[in-house]
Amino acid sequence: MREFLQRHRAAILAFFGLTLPLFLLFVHGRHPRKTTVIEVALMEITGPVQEAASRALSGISDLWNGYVALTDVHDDNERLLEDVRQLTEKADRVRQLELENAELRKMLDFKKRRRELVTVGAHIIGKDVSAYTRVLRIAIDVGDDASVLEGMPVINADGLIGRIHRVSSSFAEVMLVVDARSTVNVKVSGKGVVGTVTGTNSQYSYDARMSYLTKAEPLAQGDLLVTSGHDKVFPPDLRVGYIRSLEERQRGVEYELQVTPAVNFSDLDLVYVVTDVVSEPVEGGDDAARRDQP
Amino acid sequence: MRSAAIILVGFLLLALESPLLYDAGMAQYVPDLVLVMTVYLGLTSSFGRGLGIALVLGLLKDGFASGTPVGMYAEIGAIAFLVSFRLSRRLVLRGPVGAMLVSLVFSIGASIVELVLSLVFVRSFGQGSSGPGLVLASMLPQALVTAPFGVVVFWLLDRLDALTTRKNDSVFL
Repeated sequence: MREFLQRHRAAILAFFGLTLPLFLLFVHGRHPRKTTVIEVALMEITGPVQEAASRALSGISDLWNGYVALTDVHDDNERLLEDVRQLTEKADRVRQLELENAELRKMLDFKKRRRELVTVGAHIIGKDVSAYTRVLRIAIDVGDDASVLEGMPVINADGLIGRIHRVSSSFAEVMLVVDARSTVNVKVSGKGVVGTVTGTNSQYSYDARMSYLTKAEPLAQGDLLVTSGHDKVFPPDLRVGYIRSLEERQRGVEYELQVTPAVNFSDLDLVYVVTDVVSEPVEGGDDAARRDQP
Repeated sequence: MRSAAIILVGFLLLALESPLLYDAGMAQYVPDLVLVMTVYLGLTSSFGRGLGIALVLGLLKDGFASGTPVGMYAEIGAIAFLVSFRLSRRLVLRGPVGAMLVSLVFSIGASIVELVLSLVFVRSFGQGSSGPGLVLASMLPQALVTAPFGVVVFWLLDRLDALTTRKNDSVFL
């Protein structure tokens, strides 16, 4: 018997190796809905290992997605940052165009109202700025070639900026109304008070002062000062500034009041040089000036 | 030692196979790693020990596989072992191409055996989405997926043999 088993060992093993699974298959294939002991045992063996493997791979996957695969996120980030930069640039350009457009519209309205003024448009090409970022002097890109002469008024839609101080063939320098050398004959809009606005050359702010002899009517804070035209330099009814405070200071026979200029000198871009005044009635005159009062 | 190491490797491969392939988006065609291991055993092991390991690995695969009755992969493993063991006396396998070819042929053979066994023993075979059509349709893709893994598994077991039996020469690669 032992000799038989040894001689046919391979065949016997093969027989059992083939029939045992077939028996299992027969049993489990016939009654697929009943859970057998063998199935339970296999589940007990494989379940925990499968769960651990799944968790381990999930952890590796999370690590990969969270860190290693972030190279794509870095590229995306670079691309998005570039997009943001370009869009910001575009938005800034649009904002700039909007501001320029608004300024041009304002100037167009002004020119419609003041048709008697012959003007030459100019860009600011240089600003002398004080240590306190206050603009002291500006240079513009028109000169002799455009019939610009010394003393000509320089304006924008907000009002009087100053006058041409020096001029070359293609450029000119403007003396601002806040310059201490600048004097402008003014009147208080709607009131019978005339005087002179002189710059203070303050380092800290755009200031001017108005000197006058007498006042026919009481003045108020915020009263508008416009050019009177008496000096024959500035056409009448150009806005010059507003009375800042009613604290009068007496200097000899004159009284002085603090004035805030009508123009924001820090934000100048386009200006107009008044080269001539043709005889045409001013639309509205003082009333128009009063309408523009803030 | 060698048997335990092979069973452990097979167990780990089975455990990792499913979630790994699912993550890689290859869950549809799963390479039959246990089959390749069984073929390797048939080509390199002694009869009794190799058959025993093949049965254990087949049963483990039955435990991991869902939808097939217990005994199916044990039977396929036993048949694959016997065939490869018979072939080992006539077949000299060298290089990765050989490993791939053997894996491809055995995978197709295993699918045919699975089809026959399912038709004979599995009552529910053919109901729902399972059936002969599905087995036949996935036969070649599965074999093509298994073939390259054959090289990897053969190399892995070859290294394992070198480690556990202290042999330095490589049988296949």
